[in-house]
Amino acid sequence: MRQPPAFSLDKQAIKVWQIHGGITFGLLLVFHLIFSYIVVRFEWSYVFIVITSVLIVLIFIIQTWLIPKIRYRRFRYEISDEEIYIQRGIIIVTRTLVPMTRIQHVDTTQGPVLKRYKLMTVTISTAATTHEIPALSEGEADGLRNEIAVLARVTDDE
Amino acid sequence: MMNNFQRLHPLAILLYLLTLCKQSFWLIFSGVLFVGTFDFHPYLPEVLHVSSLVMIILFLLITFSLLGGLSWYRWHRFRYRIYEDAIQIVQGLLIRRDRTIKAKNIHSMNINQHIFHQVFNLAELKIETAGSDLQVDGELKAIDERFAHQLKRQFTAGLPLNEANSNELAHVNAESESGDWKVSIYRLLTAGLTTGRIGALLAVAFILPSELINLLPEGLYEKSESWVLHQPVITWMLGIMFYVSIMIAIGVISYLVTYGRFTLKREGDYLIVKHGLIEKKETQLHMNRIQAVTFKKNLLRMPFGWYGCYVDFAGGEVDEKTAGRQLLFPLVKRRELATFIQQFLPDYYAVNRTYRMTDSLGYFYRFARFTLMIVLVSGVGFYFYFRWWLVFVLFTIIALRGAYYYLDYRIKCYAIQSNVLMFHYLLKLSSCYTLVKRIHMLDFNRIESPAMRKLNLCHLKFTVMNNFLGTTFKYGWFSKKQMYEITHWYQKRKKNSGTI
Repeated sequence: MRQPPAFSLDKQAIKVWQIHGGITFGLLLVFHLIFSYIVVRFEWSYVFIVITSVLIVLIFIIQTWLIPKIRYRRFRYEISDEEIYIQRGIIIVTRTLVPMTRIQHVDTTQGPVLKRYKLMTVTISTAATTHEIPALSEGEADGLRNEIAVLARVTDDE
Repeated sequence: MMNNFQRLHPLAILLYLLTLCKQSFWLIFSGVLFVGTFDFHPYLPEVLHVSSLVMIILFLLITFSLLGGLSWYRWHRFRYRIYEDAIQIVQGLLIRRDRTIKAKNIHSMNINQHIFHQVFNLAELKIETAGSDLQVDGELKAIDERFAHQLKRQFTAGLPLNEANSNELAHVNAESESGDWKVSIYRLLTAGLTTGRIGALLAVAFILPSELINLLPEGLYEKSESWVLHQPVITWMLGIMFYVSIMIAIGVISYLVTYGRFTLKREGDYLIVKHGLIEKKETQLHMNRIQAVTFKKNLLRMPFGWYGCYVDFAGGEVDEKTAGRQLLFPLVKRRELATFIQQFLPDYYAVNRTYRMTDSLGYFYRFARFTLMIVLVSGVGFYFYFRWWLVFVLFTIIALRGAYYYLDYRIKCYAIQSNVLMFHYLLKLSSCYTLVKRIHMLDFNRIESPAMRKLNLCHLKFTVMNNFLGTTFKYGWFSKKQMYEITHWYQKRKKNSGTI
C-alpha cells in the first residue's frame, strides 16, 4: 500500500532526454543569435542580450541536467495481470492505473535518438486516452507490448 | 426487404443546397463584397458595362445555379438499398463511396424533421455506429417518415421490416406511453428562464450598446445619445427593464423552439429523446453506451433544487455546441430525482447512499495560498500606489474567495455504491452531481503537488469515453485515506491491499 510502482526505466533514458534538451537548446541558441544580431543592428540596449543569454543558460541547465535526472527518478511503472500502474511527473506527480480490460491497443515507437541507444517507447491506448512508458530497452519494450496485448485479451471485465 | 437501389426524395436537393449555402456563406459574402466594390469596366467590352447591383445579382445567380447543380448531382449520385440485416449507401460526386452498415454494428438511429420535411411528411434518418467518423456514419437526408420509423424498428429492435408496421408501432407506443416523461409548457418556460443561456444573452445585451457606436452612422448615434441623456431617470429605468425583458424573451423563445414538446421515453434498452417545435429531433441512446450521467443546477436553479440532466454518450455525431453531451431532460425537481433515475437510468439507482465530505484541510490550504499570493502581489503594488479604498477592495476579494471555497467545501461530497461512483461538486458556479460506473472509467489518476504530499491530500482524475476525445473529470482535495478507499473500489480489491 502507498508504494510507487516497482520498475524504473532504462538508465540510458537520461542520455536520450539530455540529447532532446540539447536539441531544444540548439534551436533556442539559433533564435538567440538572430535576436542578438537585431539588437546590435538597431542599436538597442545590450541588456536584452544579457537577459536572454542568462535565460538560455538557465534553460540549458534545467533541460539537460536537472529535468532528465528528476524525470528518470520519478518515472516508474508496473504491469500486473489486471492493470498497468504508472507514476510520472516532475513537480506534480501523477499515478495512473489503466485496467487491462480498457486497453484498445499497444504500440512501440522508436525515433532516431532512441534507436541510437537501442530504446523504445511503449504507448498504451484506451478508447479516449493514451499513456506512455518512454525509453525501455528494445527487448523489454517488445516483451512488454506482447505481454500487455495478451493480458488485455484474456482479462474478463465485470 | 428491398432489393433495388432507392433514391432519396427530391426534397433532399433543397436540403443539400441549404447545407452548401450555409457552409459557403462567408465565401459568398466575400464574393458579393468583391463584385460590389471592384471596377470591372476596364476589363469588359462597353456592352457589358452594368451597375454594381446588376453585377451582384449576376454573381448570386451564377453561384446559386452552380450550388443548385451540385446539389442535384449529389442527390442523383446518392442511392441506398435496404437488406434484412444491413443498409448499403452509395454516394460521392467524383469518387464513388460504397458503404454497407451491418445491423449488429448500429448503435443508434436518430430521426430528425426539419420544417421542410414536415410539409411533405418526410424525415431525415441518421445512423450511428462505433466508426471513427466525426460526422454521422450514415445519413438518409429525406425519406418517408413512416419508412424511417420502420427502418429504426428493423435495425434497433430486431424486427423484420415488413412486420414493423403500424400495428407493431402502436403496440410499442401504447406500452411505453404511460412511462413517458413529457415537459409541460410551464416547466419548459421555467427551464428556459433559469438556463445558463439567459446569462450569456444578458452579457451580450450589456456589450451591445457600446458596440452600436461602430454600427450606427455617427450623427444618428450622437443624436440618440443626447436624447437618452436628456430623459428623466424613470424613463431610463423603464427603458432598461424593457430592454432586459426583450433579451430574456429572446432567450426563452429560442429555448422553447429548440426544446419544445420535449419527451423522454424508454423502449427496452433504448432511451428516446424527442424535442423541437420547428426542427423535430428524435435521438436514440442505448443505455449501455451512456458513460456518465450529470445532474446540473446553476446559481438560479440552486434555491429551488431544479436540475438539468445530461449524459456523456459514446458514439454519435460530434456537436461542438454541446461539448459531446446530450441533454436527457431539461428540468428535474429534487423530489423527482430518485424516480427519474430508477425509471430511465436503473443501473445508477441506489438507496441510502452514504455520502462522505472531502477533507476541510484542503480548503484552508487553498484559502491561505490565495490570500498569500494576493497579499504579496498587492503589497508590491501598494509600495508604488496606496489608497485605503484599495485595501477594502482587497479584503472584499479575499472574503468572496473564502465564501466560494466554503460553498465548494459544503457542496463537495462523494459516495460509492456497488459499481457506481457518485460525486457532487461545484463547477463554474453550478452545482453538479455526476454518476459514473467503474466499468466506464478508462483510467484512474492520483495527482499531488509537493505541498499536497505534505498535507496528505490529492486529486482524482479520470476519463470516460464520449463521441470524440472523451470527457475528463477532475475531482480535487481528497484526503489520502479517502483516495485509497476509492482506489480499492476501482481496483475491485479488499481494503488495505490497493496500490496508489
